Amino acid sequence: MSSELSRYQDPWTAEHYDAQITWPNPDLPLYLEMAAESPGRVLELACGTGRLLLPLARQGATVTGLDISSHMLAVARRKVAAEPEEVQARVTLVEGDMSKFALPRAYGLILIPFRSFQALLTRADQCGCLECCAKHLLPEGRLVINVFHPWLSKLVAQKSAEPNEYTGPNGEAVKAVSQVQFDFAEQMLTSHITYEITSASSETRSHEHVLRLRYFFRFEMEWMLEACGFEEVEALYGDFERRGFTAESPEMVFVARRAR
Amino acid sequence: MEPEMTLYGDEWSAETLDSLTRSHISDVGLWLALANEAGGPVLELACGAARALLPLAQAGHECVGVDLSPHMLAIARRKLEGEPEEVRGRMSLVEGNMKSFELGREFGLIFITARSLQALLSREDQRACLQRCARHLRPGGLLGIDVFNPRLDRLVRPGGVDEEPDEYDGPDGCRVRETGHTDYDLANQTLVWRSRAECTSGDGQVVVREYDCPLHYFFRFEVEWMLEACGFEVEALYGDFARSPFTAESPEMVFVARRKP
Repeated sequence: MSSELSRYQDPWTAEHYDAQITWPNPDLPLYLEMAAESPGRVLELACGTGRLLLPLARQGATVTGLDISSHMLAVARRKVAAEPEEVQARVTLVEGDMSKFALPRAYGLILIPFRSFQALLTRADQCGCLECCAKHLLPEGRLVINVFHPWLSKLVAQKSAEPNEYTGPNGEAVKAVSQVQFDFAEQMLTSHITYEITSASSETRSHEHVLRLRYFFRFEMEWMLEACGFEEVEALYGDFERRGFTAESPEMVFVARRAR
Repeated sequence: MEPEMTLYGDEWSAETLDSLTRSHISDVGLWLALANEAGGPVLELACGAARALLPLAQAGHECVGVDLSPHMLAIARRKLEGEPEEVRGRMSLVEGNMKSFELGREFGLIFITARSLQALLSREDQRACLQRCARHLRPGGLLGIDVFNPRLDRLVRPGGVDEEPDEYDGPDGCRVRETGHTDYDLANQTLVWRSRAECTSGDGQVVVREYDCPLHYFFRFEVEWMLEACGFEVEALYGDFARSPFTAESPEMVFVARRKP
């Protein structure tokens, strides 16, 4: 996969990632709830620095986190090492590609949270990932995928995200400004992100990233799941409170079981 | 009559549709080329008055047309009467539903043109139709599908879209002024096009005919995954019937898919 993941492949981004996420974890309660309902172990794909993985392990789930970036995993390992021993014992971290992975276990719950699936830009990678998930699910297990709901009015207006300001890992002030371009024929968005960094001693420099994401429409996801080894979706939620999907929903959260 | 067919469910609208589409759609060349490539026989679903199918029969292909509307098929049969014996012998017309037809034979090419597949609103109905298609294709046979490329600027207009009024001569000699309004359901990817045809006859009498036409609108990758899930491999996606590459501005999405072996 995916030179597209280069954004997460450098140490700078990995160190900044947790600082950039300035919002609370609105998706965490849903995943905690689903983990508590599920048999067996939990696998999170593109687990990154362990934002969800660690709270899941603290709650008692035995979790495996897979990520393609050794730098993100290094941050996650550091965080795991600070946990009590019994929590550490419940966490396994694996460096790997979510579009083609092979692990020695089957899971009761596989999570692909927070738009990570949208980093898979080709149909081959998307289906590769889903087929791997199907192979790694217990018969009664469930797959949960969260992608953003592409609001057509935003797409048409080609709206970029608001600038994000945060304090970096070494106390520096960072302002991230993104410029988004949409390719409507390929359902792709390209975000050019410029980080303006001001250190404590008022030195400034900048850092740039290009992030490409696929956006998915509702029925596209439903057909894709069916084509790649899953039953008719069990649920489609429009947010993390499990409300039904509507035209105004901010999110799409699909829950699916593998085909027999 | 199925609810999704009310638009073409009477003789007047059948005649009108046939005369309008004859001048508006230039798809025959593409279907003929695909028929030549795949070899026959050829099956068209929702063939209507055989606007697209008859030229294929005239070109020498053995053709079967399926349509839900007896009124559309009646027009097709009338057209056939004017054809030479050997063309008539190559063409058969079947009243049937694209979701459940069973013809007991295999085809080299099946096509669904002029956005007819969009009359199937649910994934269940769409799946049923495509599975019927896969069952009726030879291994390696071709399926051609035309749907419109949804214009995002229309979808997001609050309160729906008032269609440009259109004027034309109706089949019964009256003058028709047609207005319409389209409402979109973005969560379910459906639209309802409400058409109002004011028909003024020579003696000044006015008859108003109103039709609701519900359609599903498809996005590009949705169709690709749907075909994949129903036993097909996508071979090509064109942005029009002249086989131009698909772009964001393309009017149509024309998919050519091959039945998986």
